[in-house]
Amino acid sequence: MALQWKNYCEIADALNEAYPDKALKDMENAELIRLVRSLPDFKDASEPDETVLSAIWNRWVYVAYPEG
Amino acid sequence: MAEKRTEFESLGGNNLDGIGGNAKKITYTAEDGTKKSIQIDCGMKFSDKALTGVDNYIAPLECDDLLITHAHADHIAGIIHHIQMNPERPLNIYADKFTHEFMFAEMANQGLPLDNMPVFHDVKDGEKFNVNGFEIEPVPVTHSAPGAVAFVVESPDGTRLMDMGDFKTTPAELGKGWEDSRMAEVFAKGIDVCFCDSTSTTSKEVTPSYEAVTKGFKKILYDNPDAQMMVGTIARSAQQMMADVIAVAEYAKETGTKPRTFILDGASLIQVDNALKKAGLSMTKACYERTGVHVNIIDAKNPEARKVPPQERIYMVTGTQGEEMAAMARVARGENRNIRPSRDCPNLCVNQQAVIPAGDNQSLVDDMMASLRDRGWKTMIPERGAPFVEGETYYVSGHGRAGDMEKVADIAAKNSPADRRCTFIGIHGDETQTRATEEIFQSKGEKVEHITNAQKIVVSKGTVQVSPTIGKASRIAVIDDNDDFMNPDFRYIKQAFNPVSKKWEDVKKIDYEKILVSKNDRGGKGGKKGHKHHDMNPAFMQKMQNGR
Repeated sequence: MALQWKNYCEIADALNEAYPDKALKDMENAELIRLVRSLPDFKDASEPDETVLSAIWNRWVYVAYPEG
Repeated sequence: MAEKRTEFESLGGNNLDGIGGNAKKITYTAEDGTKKSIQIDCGMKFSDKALTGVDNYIAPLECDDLLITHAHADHIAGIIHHIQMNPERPLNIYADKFTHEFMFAEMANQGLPLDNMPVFHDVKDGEKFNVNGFEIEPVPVTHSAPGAVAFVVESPDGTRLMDMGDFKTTPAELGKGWEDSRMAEVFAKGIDVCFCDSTSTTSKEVTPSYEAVTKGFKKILYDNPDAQMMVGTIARSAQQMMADVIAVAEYAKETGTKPRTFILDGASLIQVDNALKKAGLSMTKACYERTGVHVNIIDAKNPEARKVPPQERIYMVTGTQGEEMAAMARVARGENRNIRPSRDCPNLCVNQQAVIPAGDNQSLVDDMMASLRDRGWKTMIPERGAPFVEGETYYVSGHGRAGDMEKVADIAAKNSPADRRCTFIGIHGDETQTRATEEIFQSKGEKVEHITNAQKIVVSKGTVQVSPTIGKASRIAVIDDNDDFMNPDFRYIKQAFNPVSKKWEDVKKIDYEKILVSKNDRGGKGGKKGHKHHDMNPAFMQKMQNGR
């Protein structure tokens, strides 16, 4: 499935698979955008807004770290 | 022609049987009979599942405009359910920036579609705003969650109500908190009815400050200078975490040693750290401004974490209540890749949260602490309700005790206009606690009234009365585990999810004999890959109920 920005849960899962050991604390938006665009299934040329980036980052943290 | 009036209705939180599910509705009725309403909070109440078969209850959401006092589950956790039940519902949420960021993170964790997210409005001290005809003034208070506020709500007829939220009367470590002078200003303008957090008012004196935690934690540092440390915390109660950071800075200054490094492991810790930064409450920055010491706070996945000598590490982890998949339980099982006991120095685990008396917490925590000891960790855990000992206590509650209520009464008595005395009402507590709160105010010569869930306080022509009739019962049961629903208390439950029809229905119409709820019946994208975790599974519920 081609991923778009709005598919934030699927993007987070794909990021977690591609970068399982990535430290997420203090990640800049530019770095997050770069990593998302590096995903082979990601096909969306539009620019993401702050809300979608925040959703991707939070969801990635949720799947990547122990629960709390 | 109707008589114009302002009503406050307890939709949840004033329970006969335990704490939680906080929700309050304020309604103004004009002379032509038209009504306008807003709601404050929409929380979860924790069930004694062994008796009822109900995982938890959520409070009703009766308004589209919602004020949120702070980011604890018993004030916010109902909202996600309501959005899932009615995704198209337009919802405006008014809260402090930290609360907003934390709520957004919780909604993203549960996979809520972006189109269904509520519209968040940040509120700030000193900035009044209007919602649906009501003028709202947020007033900072101190609670374990940063960003906690009381709300003063002025109705179109001039009635002024104050919901204190969860509070205590000592200073906050992070962000704005309780100030006597600020509260004096509020009472000086006149408050007709004040609703007070009652959770801890059966305890005497004033709840100790976070400064006390700093002293207690510093003693642990002095007693264990060479130990690798792991500290269990509830992430969203970040005031206590900040007290630990200050302790590390002060210890380093006093001993001339390098400050220890905090290493965070646990999703909610990373998310709370981010929410704090977005709210302008960076712990590192706040600590430096206060002590002149830079304390490093890094991520357990950061390669730098392994380079920190064990004696300089403080792992800050989630899972104080023995949650199975949290960082501390994983350490106890030897499954946490980031945290292992050191062979070169002693290892100390400080579980900095007393056991919350809910569900199976006590046995889970006992088992976890025993496993940690088997793996070479010395363990410490505070006892719930233990007396405060200066320099020894390293955990404090965020709720005010009797002494805090006396302080509020004194401020009100000294500052309220003579012709506008306040009536005090206990909320957020069981029957014993809310009555204890009211007795304190009464003993100080203040007016009091008493309500339970679904009762209303009616303010009209300057008089304050409790409605003579009880409104509809209003809890909503959440039953998502593979359990039979055994003995619902129909006095309180309005709706429950029926997994057979896959609809939320009137609880009295559901045939519970036939119910065996599948974990996946409610669907949604809440699943955590590789785990059985979904939007309302038991692990999530335990996390939510522990996040008070």
